[in-house]
Amino acid sequence: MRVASGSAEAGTAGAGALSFYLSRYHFTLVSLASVVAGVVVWELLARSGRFSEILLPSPGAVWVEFLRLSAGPDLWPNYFVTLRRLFLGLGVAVVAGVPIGLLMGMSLAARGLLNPPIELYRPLPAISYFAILVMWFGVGEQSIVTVLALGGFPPIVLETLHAVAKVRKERIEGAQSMGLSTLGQIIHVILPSCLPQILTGIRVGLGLAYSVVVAAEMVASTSGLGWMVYNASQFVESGTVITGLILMGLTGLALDGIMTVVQRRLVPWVAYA
Amino acid sequence: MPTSLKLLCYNALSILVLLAVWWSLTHAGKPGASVSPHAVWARLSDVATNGYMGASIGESAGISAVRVVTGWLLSGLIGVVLGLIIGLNPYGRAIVDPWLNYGRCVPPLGYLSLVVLWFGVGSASKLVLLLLSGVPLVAVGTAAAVAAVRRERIEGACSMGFGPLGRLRFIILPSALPGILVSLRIAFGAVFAALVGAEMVASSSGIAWMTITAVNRGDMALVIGCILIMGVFALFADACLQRLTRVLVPWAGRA
Amino acid sequence: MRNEPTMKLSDVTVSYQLKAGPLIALDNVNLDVSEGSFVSLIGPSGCGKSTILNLMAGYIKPTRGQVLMMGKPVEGPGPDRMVVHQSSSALLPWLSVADNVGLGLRAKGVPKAKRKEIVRNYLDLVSLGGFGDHPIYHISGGMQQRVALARALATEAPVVLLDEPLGAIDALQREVMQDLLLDIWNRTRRTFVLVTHSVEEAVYLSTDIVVMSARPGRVLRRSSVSFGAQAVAEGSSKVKAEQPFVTAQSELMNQLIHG
Ligand SMILES: Nc1ncnc2c1ncn2[C@@H]1O[C@H](COP(=O)(O)OP(=O)(O)O)[C@@H](O)[C@H]1O
Ligand SMILES: [Mg+2]
Repeated sequence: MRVASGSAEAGTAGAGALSFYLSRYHFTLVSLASVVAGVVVWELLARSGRFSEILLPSPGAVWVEFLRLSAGPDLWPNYFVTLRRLFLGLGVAVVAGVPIGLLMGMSLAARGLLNPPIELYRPLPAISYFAILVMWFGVGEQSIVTVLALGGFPPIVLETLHAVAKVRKERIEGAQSMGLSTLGQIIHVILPSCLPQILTGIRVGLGLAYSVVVAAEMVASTSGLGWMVYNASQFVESGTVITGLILMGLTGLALDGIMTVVQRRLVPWVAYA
Repeated sequence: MPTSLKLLCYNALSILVLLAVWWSLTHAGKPGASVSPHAVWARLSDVATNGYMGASIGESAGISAVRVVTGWLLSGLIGVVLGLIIGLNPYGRAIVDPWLNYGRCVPPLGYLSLVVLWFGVGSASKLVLLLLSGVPLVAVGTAAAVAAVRRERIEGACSMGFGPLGRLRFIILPSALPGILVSLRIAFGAVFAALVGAEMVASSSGIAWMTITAVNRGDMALVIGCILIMGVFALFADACLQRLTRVLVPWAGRA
Repeated sequence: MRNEPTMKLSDVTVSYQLKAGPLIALDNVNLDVSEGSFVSLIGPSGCGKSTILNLMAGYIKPTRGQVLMMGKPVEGPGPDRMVVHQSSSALLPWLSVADNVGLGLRAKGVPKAKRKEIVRNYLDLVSLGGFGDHPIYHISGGMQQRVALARALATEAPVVLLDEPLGAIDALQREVMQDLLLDIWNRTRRTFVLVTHSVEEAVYLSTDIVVMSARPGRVLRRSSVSFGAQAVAEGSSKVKAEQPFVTAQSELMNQLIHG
């Protein structure tokens, strides 16, 4: 985001894609104001009486509902069920995806053999083959974790594979002249060189898996955040639905934010690579 | 043998192995848990001629395809316009950014319950759902592409005397085009996934509805058939979008 | 007024507000560029050469002081001052070579037929006659740089601002391009302001050399030379081999090293 790059006293005279710049401070201020304004408009709409309370509960009502749910036995257990599924599924995808990506990047045979199945199923929405998994494994953890693993796998493999292809030749040759074994080269040169892109792949995979877990819980499950929201909507409990939706969004934002921080911490040299 | 030819041989071998595995699974596996390619084909042609719960397979696939393409095109239109506005106007960006980022991070099906409460189970609610899943991706991608337009290009246009509209048409739009196309491709995947989920959860038509009904009736052959159809559609769409990118941005990666 | 300088910086200071404190990019700089001259700016990296060019182009405004063109304050970028950047990154890959060159004319509203004719002339001038229909990304870096030059010249702007235009070109091409620049300057008699790192280039091409120092950016010294005019008359290899040229180079080098 290039919003505040031009905090120059000299000022820019109408050049650049933007006609003017906002400092990061002002940008944050306006964003905050926008969020507050959004909530106020929501409150006003809810109070106007033009919508029934069932369709549009006020922010205050949702907050009360959140507190009630939070104290009850439903919200947090379901929330953590969803998170556990997500991390299990993504964990499998990472543990399988990174080595397979490395292998495919380093061996022509592996690439030639594994690419067709990956490319064939990659464009399919994961939720579509979830149907087969449900028939095989039944409704339950196994089918959900499997679909998350399968859904998160392609971006991780492909990013790793492309990263391996781009590792600078001099680095590998340097490692070879120093007498590193193939395994040593992988550990000391290839893996660290690929780390930025691998993390990007994991981040994309996480986003995909997160969307899939909610969908899968709605399609075939009796637990989890997705199921809870869907179930509440069947009983027209819009307070629960909106609470769940906000929680989903905030969790999604948090996951994305955590990945950003991890990426920055783990690969501070990314601009140099 | 040249590398590309070797790769092709491995690809062919891989697909043969896949088919062989499928074939042998149908004989070794539990009955009902796997079906042969032949059975899938037979079931599909049966449904194609006799229909399935009142809907032919062509109709179902067609309905879904129309929904996806409509939702994607509308998302693209709204997203690009919104992205241009916020990419060019920092205030607009500051105002919309928190909402877009939030919207980008919500799992699309999460909206489904609310959207169904508000708009019913008809096609309006599906369209809204698809827009909610597609627009943020396109808008964020477009805004990023606009913000990344090279300074020198815009400065050059200023020197030549282009006004804001001239700069938009001659510099900013074409410069941002590759990034916009990438975001449109990503959005297609998201919109398709949202539609499949929505049809499975709350619909009585469409290819994914057919799939989930078949699941509930233990009709494995039809499930696999439907997924194959969705797969072909997804591959076809992806290939079209790649093709479009090559045609519209022949300079990709070279400038 | 006959003697109004084409471009004038008067008591110009440019400072940037950074987190660590203010950064003085230019400190009270005065500079006159008279009509038809070829002024080179030379100095260590970060001394504000590009900043001066950006001021003249109207891309940035001075914190204090005035930038004048023909006695009138510069308000912003305009078609009377064209810029050639170091890399050819300002060229547009979706346009052909000819369309890139003709873009400025399009902005001016020059009709198509006329535009074509002008573009052809300028492509000939930079020896790219047969390349008008090529995509920009199919020609070499040196050729791209010549396209950028033709693009700046085609609008017939009286002032041409060049920011290390030959920086990314190999030595051989560089010599060719230098002679091309000299030839164009000599034939069109426009005002050229050139930022360069190369002592030889500055001495060879300029009528005026401006030596700058960094932190804060200041003008150290200004001197006049005339090897360019001589080269046009007698040929470049002869001029470059002679003693006065060699002496002028080592003098300028000394100024740069010892301030
Ligand atoms: N937009 C900017 N923000 C902050 N500092 C800048 C900016 N542009 C230039 N500077 C600083 O001003 C000084 C002069 O820059 P410049 O004119 O580009 O130098 P030169 O072209 O001589 O190498 C440098 O120290 C540079 O870091
Ligand atoms: Mg510079």
